[in-house]
Amino acid sequence: MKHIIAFCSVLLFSYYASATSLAEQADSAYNKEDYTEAIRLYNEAISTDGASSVVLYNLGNAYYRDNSLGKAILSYERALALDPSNEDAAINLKFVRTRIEDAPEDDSSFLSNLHKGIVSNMSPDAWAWTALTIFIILLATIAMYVFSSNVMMRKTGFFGGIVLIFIFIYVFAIAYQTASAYKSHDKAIVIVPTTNLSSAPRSNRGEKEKVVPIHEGTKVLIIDSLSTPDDPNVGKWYDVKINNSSRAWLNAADVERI
Amino acid sequence: MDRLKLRFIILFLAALSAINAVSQTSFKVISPGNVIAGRNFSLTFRLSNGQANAPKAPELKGCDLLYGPSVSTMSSSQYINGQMSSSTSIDYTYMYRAKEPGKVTVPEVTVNSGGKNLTSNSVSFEILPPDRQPQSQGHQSSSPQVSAIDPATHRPGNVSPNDLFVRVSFSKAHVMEQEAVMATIKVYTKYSITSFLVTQQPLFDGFLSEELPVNLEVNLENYNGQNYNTAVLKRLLLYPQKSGKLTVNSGKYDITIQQFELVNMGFFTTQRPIERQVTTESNMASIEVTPLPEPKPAGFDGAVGRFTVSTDLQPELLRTNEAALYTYTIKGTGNIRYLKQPDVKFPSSIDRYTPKTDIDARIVGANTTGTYKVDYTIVPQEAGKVLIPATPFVYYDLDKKEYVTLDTRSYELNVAKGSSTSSVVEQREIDNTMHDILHIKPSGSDCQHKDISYVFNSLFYWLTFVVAIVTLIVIAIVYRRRLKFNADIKGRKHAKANKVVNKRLKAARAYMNAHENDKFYAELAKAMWGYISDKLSIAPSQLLRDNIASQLKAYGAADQTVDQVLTVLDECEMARFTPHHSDQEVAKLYDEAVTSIRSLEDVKK
Repeated sequence: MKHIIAFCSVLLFSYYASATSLAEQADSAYNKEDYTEAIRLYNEAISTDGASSVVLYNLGNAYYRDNSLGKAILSYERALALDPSNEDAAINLKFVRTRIEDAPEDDSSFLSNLHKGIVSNMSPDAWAWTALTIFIILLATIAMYVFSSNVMMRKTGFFGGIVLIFIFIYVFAIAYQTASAYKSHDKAIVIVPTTNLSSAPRSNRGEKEKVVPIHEGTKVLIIDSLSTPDDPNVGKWYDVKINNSSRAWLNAADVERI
Repeated sequence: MDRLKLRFIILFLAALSAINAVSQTSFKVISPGNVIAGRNFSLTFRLSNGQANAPKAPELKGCDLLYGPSVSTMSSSQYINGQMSSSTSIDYTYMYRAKEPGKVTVPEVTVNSGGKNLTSNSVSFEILPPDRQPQSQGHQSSSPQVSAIDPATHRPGNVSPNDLFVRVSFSKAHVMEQEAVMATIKVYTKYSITSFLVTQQPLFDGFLSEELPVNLEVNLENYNGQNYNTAVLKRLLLYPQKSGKLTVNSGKYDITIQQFELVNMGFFTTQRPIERQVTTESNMASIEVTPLPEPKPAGFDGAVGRFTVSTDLQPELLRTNEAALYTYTIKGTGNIRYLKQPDVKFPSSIDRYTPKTDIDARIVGANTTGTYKVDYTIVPQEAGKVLIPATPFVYYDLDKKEYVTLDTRSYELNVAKGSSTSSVVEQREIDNTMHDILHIKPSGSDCQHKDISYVFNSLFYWLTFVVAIVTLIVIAIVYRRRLKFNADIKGRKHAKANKVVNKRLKAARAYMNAHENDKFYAELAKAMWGYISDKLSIAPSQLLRDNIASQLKAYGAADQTVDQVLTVLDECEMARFTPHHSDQEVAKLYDEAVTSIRSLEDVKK
């Protein structure tokens, strides 16, 4: 009996949710320029109904309108991690990055740009299916090489197979990368207006230590973390890498993992 | 309209020249200039090209008429290019003595010349007080008196800087920034000057200056209780560019003056002029410039004075690729020469050429009046609605002491397609830089997932790979077998040989039992030939009686068996042409055939 009631209530709830879901309510709040309410509703929608690239993108927009650039960048990054083919999120992320204080890292080598461009063409699932399709074609070319008695066909099968092996490895790697991106949390965004980098995992003491500030919206790569229960100010430190070069320690509370 | 105007001007000029040729009759008074109290001066009325009685001597305030009129007549005639012209002038001079310092105005005087009443202009001059003498000094001052008549005072000696100096003066003591002020540089002298040289030009730092024409006219002026002969060296209109106390200097001059030396000639003394060079010191003058009040309104570009603004567009109907003229005219008084070009914001669909500025200003009093006209030549590039926005003109009104904004007309136009098309279509880049983030996308509830699951991570996906690989392997195995099978086609035939021969023998036996001998022999022959063909892998076309024997021997068959096979084949051949056979013969042949085949079977390998 209890189970039936629970089931009914779940059904009812899901019906209600499909009528006007939290995310849709958030959309209308956003359109009414009530951005704080929109942020609240989007976050609630994510925690109850789960995340989607679109909802995260919309949340990023709401944060931007609410002048929280760090959180906006964080949301866009999450939206892109979930679906690299979310073009709007990529555009807005690029735009918001021009608004933050610290210049974003310049990793625009030709190959990395090409790779990013290729990855952003399709969703992770589409990449997975593409990898599978290429694999089947690869098997077909192998079959062609092995079974055919025609020299031309065998040649085609052989060289086509070699090319396809490399393409398959690349596409499969993309499929793996995109599918695991949302689960990897090694990158983080600074969400407080200013935080200081320190050379050791302890609070700055005195003026001797050189303080390097970094600002809201900067992306850091987390390498290691260290809990410091004795430190009264900071409970946990992250060993981070900034702009692919400098290493430093950062208060874990000042950043949020993507 | 314009043509009418032009015609009128020509007529007017013609009339003027005609009058000139006839010689105009005029009557005027010549100003004596400033005079010093206690001195005599003369006042002259000049009648040109006329005949009249001497005018009545006018009553002058603070002056006594001594005598007059003394009349002097002057006439001249010219003969130029066959045209004779003559002029006469009569001067009536009255002598007065100035008594009291003050301003004197000569009233208008009327004379009758040839039935016409001529009225003189009125002039005014000043009677200056005599030089103040220093009270403390008992003896006669060495400072000379200003008088050309009395050279006795101009004794050679040191020239005091008080007797000869250059001074700069402003027409106003306080001005606003950008407000015009007249500066006059005058030389004050008590000596007669023979030559004059500028060694250092006057400096006007912080001003925009504009020099006015001066005519060197000597006048008397009382300055600091002393009378001087003065002459204007320079007159400038200055526009202060910054606020605060601004100072100008008069520059330095080398002046040569004339002094007289007494020469004793024995019985009498005579005077000899000597020249003396004096360098005047530079004098300073300062003026207080008040800044324009803050806050300055938007669009204010330094215009100070009083202006009116008008705009014009010719023609009103615009066509693409046809030029039109947009004129922005500022009229008024103030720093009109130093106005900046108004920034008319033409829409991007209109090409604009470098505007032409035309300033027509003249100096009236201590200010400049005129028009400042900017011509913008514009060429519309696209047909359709176009708005040339109003360009307000902001200036500071000196009388009202406030900023005034003048609105101009904005033109909302419909640009028609022009007949001429420009050969070069200029392409403009669309401004595609982002100014804001993109709008949100509608978040459908269906795409939200509690836990993110990708196809990549699903079991099904990986199973598909496995299935594909297994399929390929299976296909490969099947194919391999088939290939092996196909490769052994001879062996297959070989294996099939017994089966086929048994079938044929069975059929032959059936014919034998039915006593159909023809068919029996044919079938038996076929069985024999076919078996040998399959057994020895020889094509049926290559089968001959001779090579069968050698092939069978090579195959390792016993001679007996070979003979037996050949006997059966011969019998079959023979029997086909000998129709009648007994059943026994037939049965015997059949048995022989079967034994020969069996023995061949054993031979194999």
